Amino acid sequence: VHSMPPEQKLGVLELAIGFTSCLVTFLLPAGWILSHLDSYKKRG
Amino acid sequence: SHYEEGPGKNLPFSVENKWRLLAMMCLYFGSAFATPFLILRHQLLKK
Repeated sequence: VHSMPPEQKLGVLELAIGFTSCLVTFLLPAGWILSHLDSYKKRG
Repeated sequence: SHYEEGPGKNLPFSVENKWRLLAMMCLYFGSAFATPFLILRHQLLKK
């Protein structure tokens, strides 16, 4: 197995954008639905 | 026949542009994670 150093290094800003978008894509849709569960139950 | 070699050349998606890759991974994994919640919402909302 053979590897090389990264072609382009990531800066702090790029890391922050990457991790934040991962967090947002997982937590936002699920959190939005879970926080509105009561209103779904009342309407259903 | 000959195939291109090297990092990212043996994958069924492009890793050429990291922002495009981020968007695609968010869509792919995000939609999979959101699906059960959307199904739950759908089930609760139907009469």
